[in-house]
Amino acid sequence: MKSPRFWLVILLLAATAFVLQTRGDADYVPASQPLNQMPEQLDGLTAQDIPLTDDTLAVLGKGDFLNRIYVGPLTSTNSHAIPISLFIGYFPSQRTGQTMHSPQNCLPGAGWTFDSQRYVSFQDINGKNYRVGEYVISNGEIKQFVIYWYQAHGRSIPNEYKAKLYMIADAIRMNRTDGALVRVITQVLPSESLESARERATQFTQQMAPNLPRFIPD
Amino acid sequence: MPYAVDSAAKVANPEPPPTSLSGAKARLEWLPYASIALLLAVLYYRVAIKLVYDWSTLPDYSHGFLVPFFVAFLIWDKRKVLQSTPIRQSWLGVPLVVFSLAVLILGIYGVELFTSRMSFIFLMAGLIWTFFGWAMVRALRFPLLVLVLAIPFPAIVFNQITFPLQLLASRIASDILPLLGVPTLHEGNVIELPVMKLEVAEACSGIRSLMSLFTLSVFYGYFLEHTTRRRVILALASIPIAVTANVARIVGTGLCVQYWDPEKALGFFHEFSGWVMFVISLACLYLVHRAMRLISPEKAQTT
Repeated sequence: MKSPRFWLVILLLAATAFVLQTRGDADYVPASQPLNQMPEQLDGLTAQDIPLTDDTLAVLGKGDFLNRIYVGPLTSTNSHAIPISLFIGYFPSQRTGQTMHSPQNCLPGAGWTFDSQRYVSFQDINGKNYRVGEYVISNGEIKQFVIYWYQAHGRSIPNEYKAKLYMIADAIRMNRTDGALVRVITQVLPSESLESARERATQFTQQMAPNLPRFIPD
Repeated sequence: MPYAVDSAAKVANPEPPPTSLSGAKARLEWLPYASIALLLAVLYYRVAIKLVYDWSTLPDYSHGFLVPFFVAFLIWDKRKVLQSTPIRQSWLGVPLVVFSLAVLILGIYGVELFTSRMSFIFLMAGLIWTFFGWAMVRALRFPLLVLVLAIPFPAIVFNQITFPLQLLASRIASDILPLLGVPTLHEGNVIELPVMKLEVAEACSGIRSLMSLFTLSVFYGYFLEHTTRRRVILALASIPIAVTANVARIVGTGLCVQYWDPEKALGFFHEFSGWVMFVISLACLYLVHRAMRLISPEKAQTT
């Protein structure tokens, strides 16, 4: 047992212990504003907060959540009358192993089926580029147009696996595991084309996105 | 620190009785093992604390507490085989040790719990290979694999399996309930009864208790079956059994809500669903086991 092998193994274990000791077990969490400071007026629409139930909050885990509907003036004939739902879940730390709930599970779990999906890029009103996922979901007769992506450290990622890999990389590089899920939904009215619903959701997102860095630090 | 004890036991166990050693040398015999165990404790104490915390808080992984005991039993059960296994130290284990430690560092730095926990199992294999040889790793492969059952899978991957199963269970339950006089409307995992909605907060979750059931069926198969093939079949049977048990839970809750007091029913079912599920699952396992014996009776054989 007291062989060169033994001493080599002891050396390897001790070196690893030393490497791990130099690393604390706390994240660096940059300061951010609470999500409820998201502007109440966006793109000519007015916000109505939808409180999340305690059950839902317990499932979502430790984070800051915004769940809102932005509605237009009631008696208008333009497409602004159609409400847009905005959900943002910001997690200051994912160190404890809690992960963001993917809409890929939550929407089917609530009875929605994914009809189509694709990844696209768009630019917000300041010309900043975002990479997001666009989805059409349906439940019986009702159709909705969904845009969602994962936002962390100034990067937008539509794919949850990629987001997870970037989380690991950023944990190593910056000791940060904060991140957020941003989700915008609007109904596709029976009287309108998919394209017009897409237009509405995208335009809202372009107006909303410049606010994000205040709540989800770069 | 179940692991440190565990690992110490694992490293110390295969040691053959010392032959013709002087007293002083025998006293020093345990020192190398103790120093390795101590370093392992230093390396893994944080990982272990968090893992035990997860066992106590994650409902799907409460069986984690049983795994170290089961592994200790498996090693004790194999003691004769282990004692007769020739010890051949090997340099070939060292690369595996290095790899495991690299995985551990990656897991800690990248805050990926599964990675840092899995590294322990690789490291055990590497240490056994280095100090006792490949034959010993082979002899201990089952206990090493069983350790994996105590490690929570990354949700992102595990949901791919459990979520469709939960949808299936919800669908079957919502098809059965109307036959029993409970009208239902179901949307995904949310089942709407005339008086209330079931499983609203659970909508995003995959099937519960799949891992606990799988572990249970591995234990069951180990004790009551003698061939690997039958044990594998039993272990795989845990998947349909998990679906069945969940259907039973939802149907039971639905019946209680409809024919009893809704508030009480929910309380009762959350309280007892664990036990009820466990008993139902065990009954299903027993049935599968009996069916297997009927279909192909066991031949007399030695393991």
